[in-house]
Amino acid sequence: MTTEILKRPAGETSARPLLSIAGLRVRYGRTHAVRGIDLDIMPGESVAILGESGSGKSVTGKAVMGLINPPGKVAGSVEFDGMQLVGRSEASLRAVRGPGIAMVFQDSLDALNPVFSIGSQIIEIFTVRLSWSGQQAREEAIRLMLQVGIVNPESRLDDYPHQFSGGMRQRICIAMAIALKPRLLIADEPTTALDVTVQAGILKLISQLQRDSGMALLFVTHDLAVARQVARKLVVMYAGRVVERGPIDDVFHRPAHPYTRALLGSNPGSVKHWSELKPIAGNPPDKSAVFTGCAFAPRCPRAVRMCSEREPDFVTVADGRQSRCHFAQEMFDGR
Amino acid sequence: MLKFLSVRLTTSLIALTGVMVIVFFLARLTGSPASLYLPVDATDAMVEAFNRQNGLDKPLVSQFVDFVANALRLDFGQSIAQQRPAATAVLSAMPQTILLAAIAMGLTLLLAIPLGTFAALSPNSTLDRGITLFSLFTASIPDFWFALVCVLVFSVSLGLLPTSGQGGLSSWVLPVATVMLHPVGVITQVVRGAMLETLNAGYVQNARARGYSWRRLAFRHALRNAALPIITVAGDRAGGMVNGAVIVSAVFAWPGIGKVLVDAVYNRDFAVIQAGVFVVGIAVILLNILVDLVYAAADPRIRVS
Repeated sequence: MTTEILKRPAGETSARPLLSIAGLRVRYGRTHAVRGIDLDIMPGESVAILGESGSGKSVTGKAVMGLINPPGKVAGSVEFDGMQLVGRSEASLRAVRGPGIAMVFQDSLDALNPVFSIGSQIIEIFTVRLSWSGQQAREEAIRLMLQVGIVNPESRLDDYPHQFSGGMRQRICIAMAIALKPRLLIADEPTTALDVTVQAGILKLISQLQRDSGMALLFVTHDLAVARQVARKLVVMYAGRVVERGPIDDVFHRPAHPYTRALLGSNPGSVKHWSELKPIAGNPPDKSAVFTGCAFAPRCPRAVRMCSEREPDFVTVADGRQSRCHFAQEMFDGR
Repeated sequence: MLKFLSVRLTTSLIALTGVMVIVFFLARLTGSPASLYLPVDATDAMVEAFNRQNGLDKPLVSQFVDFVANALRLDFGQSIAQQRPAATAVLSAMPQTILLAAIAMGLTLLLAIPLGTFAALSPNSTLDRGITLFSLFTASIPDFWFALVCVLVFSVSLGLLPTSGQGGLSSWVLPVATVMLHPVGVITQVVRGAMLETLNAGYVQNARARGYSWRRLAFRHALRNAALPIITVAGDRAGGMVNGAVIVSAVFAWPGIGKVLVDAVYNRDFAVIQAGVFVVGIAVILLNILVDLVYAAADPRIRVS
């Protein structure tokens, strides 16, 4: 099933991006979930998409996988290893899903089929996608479960999803996602449904798997602290647009967009005392709204008249740092 | 599971007992068999002799005590009309009924599951609308009318199929079609509704993200989860089928349990009515237990709890 283009080139040293998103738009009728985003991911690179609910971050992940169902409409370009994915037939997308791009979802209980045992669901991947024998698939399933930290995998093969804890279920989802050795893993808020102690373990696992296998990672989250644990590059989304991007620690220490700065100010982990927390005033914009200027302007402390009249272009404030703000340079310089 | 089954069996038997008591007294409200079997000018002595011979001379309460005592030994008495044990009269008709129900239910599922699934795979498409129209049509048209029209068209006009009775394969076509008519429509709608939900579930999307074909997604991952409502409705409809399919017995003179029961009521053949209700009751109880077992097989969460 694996096509020629999906084979990992030796060394993978080319400067060509593994995933290249350009002008991606997703809309459901009049609701605009993604309003044109550009994003490149290099082989082996780890990128986090940060945004609040409704910013279009999850939809972006699904659109890359071709998982937007009607009546949702996708426009723009998603190139994976030089192959255009937008508008491609379901049959040929199938070849990409798994060995090309794999995905881990937020709700692990919902993501696993409740009526099949964990073992049969993992084994199915190998027997269906690689036409392996049952015995070979079973051995690989056990190895995978061990790899993601399931103790006594052999005795748990016949257990059903509801018999596992949330953290263990998410580990199984990760095992299934990496089963076909994907070159890009999309993780859609994989730790949001878990408590903090379990979350740390899952993040460590994802990081380690990513480093060991050399796969690229697109990590979707609303939590900057979580993003910093797994990703090197950050993309901040607001109202279906990318507003800022750059190396994650640089952005964290020196945000160049008012929205990013506001996000940092509202994060309990970034302040010394809770009284310093600054919530972002107002609400995210209506997804059916049409903007003439910057979508963040109505909530932005810096906004002037120009902001609601003309949408700012990306401003390069430093090497690898870009911000979509009329005052990007001032923000970056701390003014 | 064993405990669950024994509880289920106990409550079912209590319900069956209640039904038997009601049937015993209701049947006797239809009138005296003597006035049916003896000539109009029969003397009082003849009536008395007839009643004594058939155990109808005792007070109602002691008749009931006798009935219960005999029924516990599975002796349902003698059929007045057929002059053979009532249980034999009923059981000899049972295979016809069960075979008809099994064939009809099998074909119903074979038709309804793909139809409902294809409708759910492309909601609001022309295919979906066509299938929905078909299922609403079959679920809504009166089955006796359908049966009569079929007889008119296929038997009388075209002469392709026999009008009634049970002979070769051709005599099965119209009875099976009539019994299937409503269940096909209803179950197609149930499959469509359940599949619409499971096809959009997270686990199906996740399975799709692993690159499986739509066939695998629909018929393995989604259908297995949609099974519970389908089993519930199919079980209910199958109960209706073993219940006698009275229409089929009336229109096609199908020699099943339905015909035996209807004839028994006309003939004031109390023993056969009681035996028939008892056997059908047992069949429905067994069917319900079968449905519970299929539930457990389909969904591991039921198996464990």
